[in-house]
This record gives sequence, structure tokens and C-alpha cells, in this order.
Amino acid sequence: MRESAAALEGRYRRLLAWYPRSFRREQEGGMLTVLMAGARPGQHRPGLLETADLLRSALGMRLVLAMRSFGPGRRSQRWTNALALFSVVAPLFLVIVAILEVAVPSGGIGRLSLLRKPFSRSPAQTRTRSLTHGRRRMPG
Amino acid sequence: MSRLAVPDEPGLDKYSSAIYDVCVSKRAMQEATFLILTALAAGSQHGYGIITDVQELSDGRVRLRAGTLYTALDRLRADELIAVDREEVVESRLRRYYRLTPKGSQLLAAEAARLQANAAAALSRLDLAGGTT
Repeated sequence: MRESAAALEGRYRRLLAWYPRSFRREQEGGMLTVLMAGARPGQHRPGLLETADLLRSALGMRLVLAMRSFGPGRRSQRWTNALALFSVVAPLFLVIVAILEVAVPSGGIGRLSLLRKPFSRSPAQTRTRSLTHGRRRMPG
Repeated sequence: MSRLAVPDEPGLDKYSSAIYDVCVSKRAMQEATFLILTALAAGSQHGYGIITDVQELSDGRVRLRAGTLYTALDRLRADELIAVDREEVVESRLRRYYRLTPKGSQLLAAEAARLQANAAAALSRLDLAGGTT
């Protein structure tokens, strides 16, 4: 129970790291309280929707901060374009991160290597098969 | 230009000028925001208290997630509709309590009156329609 709570809190902290630092300094403690209070007993990983909600919120705040830093007046068109591009690419990136965070826990690389195994085996298998074929034919 | 051709639709903009000019926003308040402010209307509450209260107020329909709640709280604080009341540490966990500001209760009252007027209009017309059948 305690171990799973600690693991869950660690994962929540990692998600909260997406928020702007100024926000985190002030709100991280209270937000962790809310997140941990809402967790089911024995839960050790944030839910998918919860993760997506946190990332959307964090990204939104970062965007608002970015807009503010550009000032009320319109600067160059390039910045507007960059911001527009960022607002499309960043959510995509965050969604991918969110899916990885939830679907692939700590042993993520191990699981990915499972996918590679058939490919790495097959050339070796065909080679040994052709060798045995050759040997069989030799005496005959 | 095409706007001039369309006959004036009464009611669409009327209420916003009547009630909202006093207040901050010209748009209708989002339901989550309305419920958060309602949760704070009776007294200060901490984050998780707001979530459970909003769920109760909405008959379980609105379940705020942490990210949504804190985005709303951040914006409401920036608009000076709510303020931090106090902080407590319970079982080594930080609890930050929020309360409505006078500006916040004024806006909530205006929004509640608007919703009540809309609901009353809808109910009275439905009543009329019901009478004809």
C-alpha cells in the first residue's frame, strides 16, 4: 500500500513538472494533496484521462504565459506562426508522452525489445536451416 | 453588411448588456466555473473539498479533474473572483483554502439571476405549449 502510494506520488510529481515553474512553486503541494486524495486505494499509476487532463492544463498555462510574454501589442508575424505551430505540435507530443507514461511503465525498453526479437531471430534461423540442408545433401 | 439585413434578434444580446456590464465577462459562465463559485459561496474550501462539493451540487454529473480545477482556480484568482483564504497542513499534506471575493459573489449572483430568468422563461413557455395539447 505505502509503496504503491509513493510510486503514485512520484508519477504525479513527474506530471506536475509540466506546469510552469511559477505555478508549481505555489500550487504543487495543494495539487498533490488533491490528486492523492482522489486516488483509489492501491492505485499506483495515474489514470489515462487524469494524465491527459493534467497535461492539457499544464500546456494551457504555459501557452498563456508565452502569450503574455509576447506582450499585448502584435510583434512579428513569425512569432505568431511559431506559436500556432507550437500549439499544434505540443499537444501531439504531450499525448504521446501521456500514452507512454500510462501504457508503458518503468520497463518500457524491455517491452519494445520484445517487438524486435522475431526480426533478429529470423535471419539466424534461416542460416542454420540452409546449413543443415546443405549437410543433408552432401552425403546423398 | 449582412448583419444589417438580418432582423434584430431580441434576447441574444440583451441580457448580456443588462446584467453583465456590471461584471467581468460578457460570455455566459461555464458550468464548472459556476459550480466552483457556488461551492465557495457558503464558506472557504480546499481543493479536494471543492471537487466533492461540485460533484454533490451537480448530482454526480460534474466530476472535476485536478488539472481542470486548478486551471479554473488560477483564472478565477487572476480575475479576482476568488482569493486564498488560508493554508493548513493535515497529515503532512498541504491544504489551501479558497474563498469568494465580493466581486466573485456579485458575479455569481448575477449569473444565478440570469440562469433563473432563462429557466423561468423556458418553463413558462413549455407550460403554454403543454396547455394546447
